[in-house]
Amino acid sequence: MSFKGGFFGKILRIDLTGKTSKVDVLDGDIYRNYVGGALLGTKLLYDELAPHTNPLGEENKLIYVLGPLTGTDTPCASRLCVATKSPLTGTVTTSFSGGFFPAELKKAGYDAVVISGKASEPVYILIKDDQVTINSAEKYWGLNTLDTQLYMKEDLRDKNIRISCIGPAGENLSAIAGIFNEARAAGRKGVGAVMGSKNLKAVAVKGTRQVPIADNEAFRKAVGLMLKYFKESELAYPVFSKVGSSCALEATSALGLLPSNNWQSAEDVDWDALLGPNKMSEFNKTKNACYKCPISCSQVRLVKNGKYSGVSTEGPEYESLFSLGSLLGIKSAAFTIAADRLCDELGLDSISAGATTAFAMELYERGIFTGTDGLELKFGQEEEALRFLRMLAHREGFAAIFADGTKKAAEKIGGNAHQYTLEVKGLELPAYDIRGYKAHGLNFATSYTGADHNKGYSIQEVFGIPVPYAVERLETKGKGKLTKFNQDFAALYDIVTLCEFPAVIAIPSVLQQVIADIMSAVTGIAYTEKDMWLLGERLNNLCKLFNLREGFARKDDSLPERIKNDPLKYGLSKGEVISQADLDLMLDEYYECRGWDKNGVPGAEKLKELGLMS
Amino acid sequence: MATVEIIGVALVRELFGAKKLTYPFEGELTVFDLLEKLDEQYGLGNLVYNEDKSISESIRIFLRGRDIRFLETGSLSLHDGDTVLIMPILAGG
Repeated sequence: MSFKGGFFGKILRIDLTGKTSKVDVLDGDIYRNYVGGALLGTKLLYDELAPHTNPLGEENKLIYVLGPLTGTDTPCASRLCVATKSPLTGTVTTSFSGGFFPAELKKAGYDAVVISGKASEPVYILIKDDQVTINSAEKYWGLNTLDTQLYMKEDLRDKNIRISCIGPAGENLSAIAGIFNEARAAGRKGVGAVMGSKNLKAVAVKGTRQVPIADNEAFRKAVGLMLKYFKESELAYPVFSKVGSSCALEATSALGLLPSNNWQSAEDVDWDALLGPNKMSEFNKTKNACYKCPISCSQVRLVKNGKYSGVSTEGPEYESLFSLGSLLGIKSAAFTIAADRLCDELGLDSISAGATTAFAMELYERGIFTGTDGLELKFGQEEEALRFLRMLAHREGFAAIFADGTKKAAEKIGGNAHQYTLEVKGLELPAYDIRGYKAHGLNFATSYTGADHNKGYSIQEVFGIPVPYAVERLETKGKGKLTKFNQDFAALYDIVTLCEFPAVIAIPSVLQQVIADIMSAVTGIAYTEKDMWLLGERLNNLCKLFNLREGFARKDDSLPERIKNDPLKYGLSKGEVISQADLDLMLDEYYECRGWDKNGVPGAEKLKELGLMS
Repeated sequence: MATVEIIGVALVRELFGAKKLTYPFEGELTVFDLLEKLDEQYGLGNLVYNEDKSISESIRIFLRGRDIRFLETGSLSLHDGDTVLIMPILAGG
């Protein structure tokens, strides 16, 4: 069935080796079944990448994918999916960013941009609707992400042009580098290194088209209903709009589940008082909304005095309060603002960058790695942490060992260093001590791209949102079924592309129906609630097929040693672990619910049901 | 005299005017009895209760780290040194 709106039907392909571009037209059935975002991106990668492609080789592809709702008046739908094979995990990966760049790229008339090859020297791509040029980026190479955007806009004499770029970390092929637009980031899984490996500094875009809508009246009605849900939500405007993602810190710290000191959590500290939303609000200066977002969760914070006086940042988000605060044993809110700003400038994923710093600190304190050229890399040391982050992004001195994250650093250091890494499939764990959130732990173990909280957030355990039902966070039974639900739920907003926050906060119980109604109105294709669930399940199965082809197996659906063997020492989750036996029980249930065998391989029946096998 | 520690999060903390309270008691007391006492003193109202006085789905109450919705009746009695955590549903991440 063909579409009547939502898509332009065009994929822009850019070959940086030959410095050429062309437009491909995709079949209508591809749009119906793979839609956009993570699913369309994974479909293109699965079809076009040979198994065992080197993530940093010319043959890998960097795909910017939009969704049918991007650039429309759908609230919170200006999302960019960056799809590629990850240099950090070796899996297929999708990383997301918001802001205005995604809507601008969509309005240039493309549903996706597939970037292949490698330029012989630094370049940037300029897209102005049909005009696509590849230009020298020599003058921007080495600049941080914020300056790159500033000077490129000046050179192009257009302050409204939107730019997506890398910083020094991506240029230096750090496997924990992200891609940044405005102050937003497709931060995780090393997508910035893939961009750097292609000698691609930036993509600048100006779009003047309108995204076609198949049925405007139905669209207005469906969006109106979505906004009504936003308004009625207990969380969206009353809480989230006011304090942003930092309110998660109240939930995790209350249960003793905000990790500190590289997950040793050796002190009973009131992190909520130090880094929680009330404390962070003292630094609030203004807010900055993404395109067509009425909630505006992003808090712009400014340090007004002390050694970081004058430093501002958008954030830190909850994850960075963890990775640049508690995880480093640093109790200064002002420091987290300075470090967050620094990571943005350097083009580093602030989660993995903080986690890698914490890992290096523990190795240093334990005497396992002390060759730090005199840098006293101890927990709680602010200046040393900032210095380490700069060195890491530039692969400078000893810090080069850590530039590709904790797993690869442990391999280089050898000995028992690996015991102190907290990663799954190479991706550093985000800000939830999963010893006290069992389904969230199972999600980290099984997510297609490593320990990614956004690919199956256990909103029931972490936040108490009782959709589809309330759960006991410490129970393991039933968590396989719940994790399948959470992953297929999360996959939907990654496909259409909608911001996770309103989906979770304001419309969790009606997400599939709300999206189906909007999608039907936008595209003219009659989608149902059941179709939405199938899309989510299709994504998780297609990603599984990609990873199986790369050699991933059940043994990789694992958890770090510390999670399995070291009980929590303090607080209301004291004594908790997820043992290997716990994990095995949950994995068996999860695979069975997914229609996969004991090794996590999808059965033919399931693949046929999902249209992934004929 | 036995005591329990009560931790309030977010809006509950605002009602209490403090993050932690210490509640002394003698004899038998269940977590539901404690909530009634707190309601009398601080007006927990619809933050904790539905109109029919059942516990709202928008609040989580933990006794010794366990969500009371999943505890058996016999496990709802308070003991000296217990911690009760009262937390509204939250979001973020």
